[in-house]
Amino acid sequence: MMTDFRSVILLGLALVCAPAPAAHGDDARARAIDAVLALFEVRCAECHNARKRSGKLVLTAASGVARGGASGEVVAPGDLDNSVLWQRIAADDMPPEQPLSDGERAVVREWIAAGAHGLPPTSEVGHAGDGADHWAFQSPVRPPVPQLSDASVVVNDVDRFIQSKLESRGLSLGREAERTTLVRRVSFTLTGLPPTPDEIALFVADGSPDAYEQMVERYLASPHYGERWGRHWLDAAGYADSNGYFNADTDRPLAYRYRDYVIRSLNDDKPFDRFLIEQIAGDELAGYRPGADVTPENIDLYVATHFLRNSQDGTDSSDGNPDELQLDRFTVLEGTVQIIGSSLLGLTLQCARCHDHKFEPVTQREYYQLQAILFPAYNPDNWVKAADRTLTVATQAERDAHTAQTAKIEAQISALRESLQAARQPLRDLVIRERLAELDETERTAILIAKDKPAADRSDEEDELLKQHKALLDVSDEQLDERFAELAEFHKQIDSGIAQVESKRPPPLERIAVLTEVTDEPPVHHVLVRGAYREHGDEVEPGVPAALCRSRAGFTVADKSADQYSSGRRTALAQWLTSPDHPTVSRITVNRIWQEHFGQGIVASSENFGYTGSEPTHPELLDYLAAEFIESGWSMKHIHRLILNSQTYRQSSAPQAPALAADPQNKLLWRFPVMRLDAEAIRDAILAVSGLIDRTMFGPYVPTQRGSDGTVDVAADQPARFRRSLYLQQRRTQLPSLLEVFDAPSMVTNCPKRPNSTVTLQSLAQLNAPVMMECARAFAAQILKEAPNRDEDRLARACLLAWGRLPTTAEREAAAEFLALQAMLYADHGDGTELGWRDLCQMLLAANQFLYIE
Amino acid sequence: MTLQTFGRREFLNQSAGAVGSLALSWLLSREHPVLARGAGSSPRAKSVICLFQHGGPSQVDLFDHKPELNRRHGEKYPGEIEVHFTGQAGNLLGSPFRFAPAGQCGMQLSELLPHTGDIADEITLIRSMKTFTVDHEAGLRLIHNGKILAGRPTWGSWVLYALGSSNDNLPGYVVLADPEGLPIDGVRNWTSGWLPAVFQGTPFRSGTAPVLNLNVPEGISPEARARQLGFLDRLNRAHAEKFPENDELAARIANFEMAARMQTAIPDVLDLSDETAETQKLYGLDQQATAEYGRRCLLARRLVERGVRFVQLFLSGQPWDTHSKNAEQLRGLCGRTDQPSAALVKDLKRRGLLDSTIVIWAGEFGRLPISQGSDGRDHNGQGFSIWLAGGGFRGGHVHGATDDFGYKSVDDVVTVHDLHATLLHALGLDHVRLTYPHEGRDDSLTDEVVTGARVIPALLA
Repeated sequence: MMTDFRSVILLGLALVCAPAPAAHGDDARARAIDAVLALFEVRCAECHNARKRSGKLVLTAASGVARGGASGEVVAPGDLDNSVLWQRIAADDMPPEQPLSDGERAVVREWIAAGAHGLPPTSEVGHAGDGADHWAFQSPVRPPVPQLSDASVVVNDVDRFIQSKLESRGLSLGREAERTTLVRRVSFTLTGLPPTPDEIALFVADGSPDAYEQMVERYLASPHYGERWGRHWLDAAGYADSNGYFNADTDRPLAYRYRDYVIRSLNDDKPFDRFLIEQIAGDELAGYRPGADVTPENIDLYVATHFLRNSQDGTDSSDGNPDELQLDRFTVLEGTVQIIGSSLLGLTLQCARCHDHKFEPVTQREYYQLQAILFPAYNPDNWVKAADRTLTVATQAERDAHTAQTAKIEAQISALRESLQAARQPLRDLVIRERLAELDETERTAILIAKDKPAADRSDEEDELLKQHKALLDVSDEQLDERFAELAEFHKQIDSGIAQVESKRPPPLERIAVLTEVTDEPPVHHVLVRGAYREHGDEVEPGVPAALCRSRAGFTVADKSADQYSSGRRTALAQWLTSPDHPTVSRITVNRIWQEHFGQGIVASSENFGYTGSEPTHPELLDYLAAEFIESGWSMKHIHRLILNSQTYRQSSAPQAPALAADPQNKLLWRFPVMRLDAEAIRDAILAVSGLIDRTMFGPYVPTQRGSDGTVDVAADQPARFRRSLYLQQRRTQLPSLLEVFDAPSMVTNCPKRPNSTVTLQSLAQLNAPVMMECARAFAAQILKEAPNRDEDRLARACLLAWGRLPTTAEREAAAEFLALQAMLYADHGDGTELGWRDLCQMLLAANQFLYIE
Repeated sequence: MTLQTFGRREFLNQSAGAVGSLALSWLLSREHPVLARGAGSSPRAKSVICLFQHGGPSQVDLFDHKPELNRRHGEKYPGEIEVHFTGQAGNLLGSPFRFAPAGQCGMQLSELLPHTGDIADEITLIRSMKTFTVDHEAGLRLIHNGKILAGRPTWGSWVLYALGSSNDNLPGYVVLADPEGLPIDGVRNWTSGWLPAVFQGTPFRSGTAPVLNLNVPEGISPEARARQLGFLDRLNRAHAEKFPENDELAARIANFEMAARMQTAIPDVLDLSDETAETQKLYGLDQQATAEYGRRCLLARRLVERGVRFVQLFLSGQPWDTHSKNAEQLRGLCGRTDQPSAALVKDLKRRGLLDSTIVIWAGEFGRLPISQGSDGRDHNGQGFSIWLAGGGFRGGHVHGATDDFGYKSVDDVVTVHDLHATLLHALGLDHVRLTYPHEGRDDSLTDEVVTGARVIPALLA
């Protein structure tokens, strides 16, 4: 009855608001739609709201009604027969639960028949709405958890959202995967490494009811967690160890400090809002001004700002052409804005550089407002080269002491050098005089006079004279030492004195690469007409796209205080981004976490949440996770727990016929997807399985080189060559070949989502890459050592290491036959057993059992 | 249900569960008639060789003779002109190069292109090209993937997706990169974007190892390797049994088979010793200036001969980007590329392959008729020239024209999108119907609704 009552009220409202027949004014026409929208709000908005957009149709805003849905426009003004909206209502298709009453129908019918006044022309709504009708531009709101008819299959609320959708399609969550499968899955997803046989045994044998949750906790607590998830964030942040842009792709030797900061922050589960604030405005937080102290207490704040330094930056190697120089500088600004756009805003912004965005609610002006936030730091007219954007890690007192100490040492050394010179001079004169003795006196005198004159005072004749007798006049230090033993002895003493002084020279102060503002007066920025940096349009103040400010979250730069150097613009950006109301930051972050756990985000286009992005498969779940994220104090580990402890995550990957038919893409998650390991996990796992891995954490990158055949890898004589992949030099133009072939990104801007390719070059690498052979040999040697006797034990051990489980019967048979064949082949070799096992181990690492997690 | 009504992708999706690797071998290697998805005209062309000339070759010095430009050399350009480097725009810069009629058709070509002159009667010269950006990366993406955005499938991927490969042993889309280095925008130039990864271009490196890890490592005999592969295949099949619906696992099984075959097929295709001295000379392998490019042009023919669907040659960096010393740089570039490019067309023709092979010579845009600095030319997207040969394109034909100065295409304008549509048409494909689902819609190379791409019948015989 509630509905009926409501309808009556509504109808009344509609009648009141409906244009009186006499009112033909434009105003009245424009208002005609109000009654219809009011009706839609009550009767249709549950599904056709800006967040849900069922059928991509939004009926809560005039622009949405005009734009229509997945099948196109839904209202043909004045033409009921061709208005899909009306047809569906008339046929009682919509709303599905309770059709509209006759009175309600009349409101819609009359409105369309009269010409659908108030509907904006479709040309105006195009794709680029104002954001009001698009889910991603509304703040996330914690949704109610769905009620299930059968809750026995679920573990937590994540499951309820998933199961509710499955139920609606007559499907259900699948059974739990085997324990060996689960531990391998969790180990790889949280640490990027395979579980060790001990870790597997511990979990498999654990009879406690929370054995699984405990296992998840063990991996969450692992220091390798930060390495794995740090790498994901570095992808989104566009991290590289080189400047890119030009083919020279020059070095970024200090970037690693930022990489290490990210790893530590994630291991500490630093609240994500704090993590962002540090990266965007750490210098302002630390109160930077030129000459500021960098201490153990605030160094992280400075190092974190390297997030804004990740863009390609060719300005160190730009050539002299002033036009190009300016272009190169603006490119850094653009790259940085683009990284912020795709990693945090979920918006493609580049289009708005030259004109208002055609598809997204971002004007050109807003694009330059975003640039203006960074403009005081990246000011093309007051540019600081990449290599010079550094700070020394010291206090002013330490810097002064260092300067004084250095000066003292320089002075001592030059005093020592001078005393040696002083000892040499008379002896050198003596030798010259001896040599000149053979000349006649007039000439000798002329030479000596000329020699003692300052060069500028000599006549041309004198210059000629000296040149002529150069051989006689040049007496080298070595010649003097040879001639005068005492001088040689003195020389030795001086050298050892210098060495002694040098040994006291303080090492150069450590430097960090940072982003800070260049002057204390922020420069004025303009819209650049058609993106041309010389064509200034209107002045712009710093700001953010209005479409992302639909809720309370606003962007305000605080007034600058007297003792403040930096403009505070980035602090304002960071505060806006980390406001709980911000529509994209929490969602895009939990979506990326989901993406790494399930191979695909709830929003598949994890870098683009705009109109052109994908629709969320589970919008309520996305908002639920966003709410959990914020309410847990922005704890990433909390989100991991929610996801990993869910039954959804624990499902088996086995196909089920009905579900496969209903949802072949597994969009509803009726099973856990079969996922290929990513590039770093493949290399790291191969090293781990073969026992070669070097688990040293942190520090400068391990340099790579391009071999004569084009392979990029760490040099064979590098002691650190088996470090984990994220510590290898991430040079944009020189990625380690094994990582590159498995889709590691060659960073151009950033990479919020890795591609997943399946190409023959990968198979060739698995078969023939030198590192594969080396690992196969080491793997085999380890197996033969650990399980020395029976082939069956050896195989079991090998499979446990490489695949995290024991071999199946079919696999055992295949291996046994293969070993027998290789044994015959290598019968004449002294190390036949080793060779056979090498060949076998290599194939275990090439097999899909290794390459994929289930 | 026939394949005509069924469509290639559907076939793959439906059948993968039952006959996973059969579907895969279909996908990767079977020669087959043009299939329902995108089938258009009856095709003459089966493969494409693109000699890509990036940087923006100067049309008025190479293909587009402009006496008026030369007459008014040094005068101010009468009108508005869109420049890239605003501070350095100069006055009209005439071409120092002589033009003369070439071939029976008598098309005017620059003295820098004597060898191209030899094939004038084979080529369709388009003098009215138009693109929509003068930024190199954006321009490269526009001509390679249809939009200025990165991450979309490139034209070779579309062709391979539509037609499949006809060689079991070689990748269907091969990129022959310059030994000096990658072109600007690197591997994006041959990405499969959101098409399945099997359709992405495979870059061959120069030198003896064109593909990394091609050779079996020392210490593993052919017998040992053969047994390893047999063992691996058993392991992978045992694994795939659990997931019969999984295309990717099946693809990986097929890839190992292909990897093994590539190990013999690639050295074979690279071994030029079975080419006669006359052929080698034709491509200029006997001269230092032309040897490197000539070798890659010859390789392109050998790849197409073996059924590779799409071959693209790149230069390193963006050599045609003649912002300064335009004339001097053009001499060097033409000295390097003119003879081998023409040799490829001649050689294809005499082997009866030109009918079924389209050769494209094109850059991402052209250059301005005014000077940049004293002796350079700035970017120009408003008008530029390209040529095509073979595969049903009209020989000895000049299409369209620019204005009196060679700045803007004015007659019979061909956009980059039109070029795509026409290229696909020549391969028997309908650019409107050759689509792939992406982010909620059926997207395509030309995205005709947005770009207005159309086939230009006048380009075809």
